Order: sequence, then structure tokens, then C-alpha cells
Amino acid sequence: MYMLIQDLFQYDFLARAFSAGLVISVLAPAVGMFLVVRRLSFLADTLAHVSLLGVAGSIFFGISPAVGAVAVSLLAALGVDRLRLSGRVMTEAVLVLFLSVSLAAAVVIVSLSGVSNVNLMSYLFGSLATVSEAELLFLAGLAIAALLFFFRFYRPLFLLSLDEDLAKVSGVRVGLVNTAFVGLTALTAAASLQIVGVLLLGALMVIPVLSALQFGRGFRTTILLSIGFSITAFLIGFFLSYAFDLPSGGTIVLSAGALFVAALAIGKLFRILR
Amino acid sequence: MNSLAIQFKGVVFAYEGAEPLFKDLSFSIKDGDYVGIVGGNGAGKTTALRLLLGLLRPSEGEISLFGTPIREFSDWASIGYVPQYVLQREREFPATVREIVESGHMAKKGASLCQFGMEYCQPVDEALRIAEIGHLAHRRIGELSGGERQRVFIARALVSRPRLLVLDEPTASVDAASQERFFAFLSSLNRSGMTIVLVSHDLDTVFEEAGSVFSLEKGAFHSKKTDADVAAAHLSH
Repeated sequence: MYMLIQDLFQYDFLARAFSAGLVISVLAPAVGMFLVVRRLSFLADTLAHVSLLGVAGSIFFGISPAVGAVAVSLLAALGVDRLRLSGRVMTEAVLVLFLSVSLAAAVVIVSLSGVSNVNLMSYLFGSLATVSEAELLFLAGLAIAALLFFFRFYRPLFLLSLDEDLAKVSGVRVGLVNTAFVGLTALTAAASLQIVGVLLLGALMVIPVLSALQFGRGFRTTILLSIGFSITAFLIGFFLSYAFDLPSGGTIVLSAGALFVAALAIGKLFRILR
Repeated sequence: MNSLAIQFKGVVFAYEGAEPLFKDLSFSIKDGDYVGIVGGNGAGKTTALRLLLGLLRPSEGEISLFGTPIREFSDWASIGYVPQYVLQREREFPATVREIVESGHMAKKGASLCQFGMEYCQPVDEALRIAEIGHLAHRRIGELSGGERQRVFIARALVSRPRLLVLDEPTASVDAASQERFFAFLSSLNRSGMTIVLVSHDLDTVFEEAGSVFSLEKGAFHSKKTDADVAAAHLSH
């Protein structure tokens, strides 16, 4: 542990990885809370897979993968939202449709571009160590924007999560708030791709929230608890990953899973004692 | 108190691919009235309610709230709405009673600052007190009984001090003793000047409690309020 702290100050790449991981640990469960209570947990997974299509397209056209991931993810998020709200297709089905088609397109594009599988693997499972300074700055900007968004739209988002009709009758511009939130989810998914990877991003958005829910507290407290669980999972995962040379994304998500099991047991104990 | 709270003029509405539910629905409710809406299953009670709240749009005709066409209506703080299904489905929602009641006040506001003693905490406390749920403020909504949860959503609707309170089958999951207290509570709100529109399948109670009753039959409202009408309504269901 001491060595890790020493190295954090010594190596820039490690400091960047640590900072990026911390930012994602705050951002992912804050967004994830609203996804979980609105029964849209799978949206995070879908948008992460869609981001992969953006990465594949960027590699094919020789542009920055981050730009491609953000652009495609945002477009897909708006598409998912429009189709979902039209009521013509069930939400789960819309999410599966976008996930499957974008993943298939990504596979075909990668095959056409002749890029090695190694490049793609870092997006599938994440690679904290390769976070660049520009990516860290983008993440920090996104986190500040998200914080402002949540502060301004907390009440409408809460109402939307409780009941869309109640939100409308309370004067909330449901379409606008919904689109902004889905856009924020898409940006978070695209920005987190490099850190936890496509396959693990959904877990980071959802598992800490599930852990926090075990304590049966109010909405605000549950959000704060889920951020606490997420940061703890990151710190444990980051340390284990560094100490034992394990893949960072997988180790962080496994830590979140272990914390969920602990939260399940402690939450049950709380309910018995109450 | 003679102005109109609600006005439907020649409203036509049909769900996609279905026969029109309303072909020419016209009625009005005065400010300060206590109106019950009854009707059989599928008569369109909830649809009429959703139209008057702007949750559905008529294909023809006009709906006005306090003299303003619903398309241009923006004073949503003056409308309190207690939907039917929220009372039944939100057992797992991770929120305290206080958080839910707060959500009814100035919905466009951002994060709650009540804990810092901001001005708009007072109506929240008052709504909790009026609905007699102050002692439940920090309990989770899912831990409460049907009657208690119903009061939470009424308090939520009251927190913006509305002029019109609209309730859709509010006593669906409530025991008889709680129902009695609930209707006494609604009457006291009406006496204080609030317009109340109550949709219910419970004909006896609605006829007993509401000042006037509309029965929705074959896409049209019929005004009823006599004992003979009660008997007739029973026979027709």
C-alpha cells in the first residue's frame, strides 16, 4: 500500500489512472441510481456497446476513438429514447436491438479495418494505465457538468423516476430533462470506456447502487452511499490490481461485487435489529 | 367562486386504432366544487382525467383549466394530482416520506435545500401536518400501509397549495376505517375553498361525499345526485 502511494506521486501515468478512476467512481453510480430506479439499468450496458461501434468507426476512419465513442453513443442514446417513448417497442427490446446491431457493426468494421484484436481488447475490458491527459481533462469536465446538471435537475429527475405523469403534471418538461439525462448517460458511458471497458461499465453503474439500496435509506442518502461503495470498490480494486498485476477493470468490478455481498448481509442484519 | 375550474368543449378522443371513446364530450366544473366522477369499467373515467391534466391530447375540441386552454396552461403548482397506480406500485422506491412530499413543491427546483432551512420547507412541514403523517416523515415509502401511502401522495399534491385537487381511485387499497377519515379530510379541504375532482368506482361513497356527481356513460357525462340516481346507477352496474 505504501509503495502504491509512493508510486502515485512518482509516475504520471499512475496518478492519471488513479484520478480518472476516482472521477468515474463518483460519476457512474450517480447516473446509475436514476437508471436503476427507472428500471433502465441495461441502458448503461447498451450505450457502452454502442460506444464500441464509435471506437471501431474511429479506428476505420483514423480519428480519435474518444470522439467517435462520444458521438455515436450520444446519437444512439437519443435514438433509444425516441423509440422507447414512442411506445411502439418495449424498452428492453429497444435496448437489445441497439446493443446487438451496434456490436455486430463494430465487429464487421474492425474486421474490415484490419486492426489487431489487442487494440479492441483494451476497450472491451478497460485499461486504466493508458488514460491520457486529454482523456482525464475530458472526464473532469464531464464530472463538473454532471454535478451542475444533478444540482439543477435533481427534483425533476427524482419525479421522473417516481412517475412520469406526476412529473408532467408538476410542470416538468419531461422530454427535455429525459433527453439531457440520457445524453449524460451516453457521455459517461463513452468517457468510461477506456477505464473499465465495455463489458464492465454497466457493473460500475449498477452494483454500487444495488449495495446502497440494501440499507433501506432515502433517495439522497442512497445516492451518497452508492458513491461511497463505488469509491471503496475502486480503491480496493486499484490496489489489488497494482499489487498483484491483475486487470484493473475486472478487479474493480469484482471488488464492487464483493462489497455487494457484504452489503446484502449487513443490510439484512440492520433490518433484523431495527 | 363562480369561475370555471375545468371546461371541456366538444372534446373528441380515441386511442390509436380504436373507436372514439368520446365523440363530443362537454362539461364544466366550477371553482370550489367537489365533484365525483363515476362510471363502469372502460367508461373512460381515467381517460377523461388524463385529458383534463394534459397527459392526453384530444383530436378535436378544447379543454381549459381556470380559463386557460390546456395547451397554454403553465401554472401547474395550482394543480394537485394523486394518480391511481402510484399508490400501489412504488413499494420498492428508495425514498422517504419527506422526500416524496418535497417533490410536490416547486418541481422545477433543483436539489432540496430544506435541510438548510430554506423558505419552501415550511409548506412541506405544513402538508405533512395536514395529512397527519408528520411522524412518518423519515420512514421509507415502501414500509407504509396502503392508507398511509395514500396520505403521503395527498400531502405531495397539497404541498404546492393547489386550487384544484384531482384524485384517481384514491381509496382502491385502503381499509374502511381509513376511508372514512380520508373523505372527512377531503371535505375539510373543499370547505377551505379547494376544488376537488374525485374519480371512483365506489358509487355509494362518491354519492355520499361529493357535492355533485357525473356519471360517465357511452362517452358522455350525466349529472346525478339524487337517491333515485344512486339506485339507478347501482342497477346499471
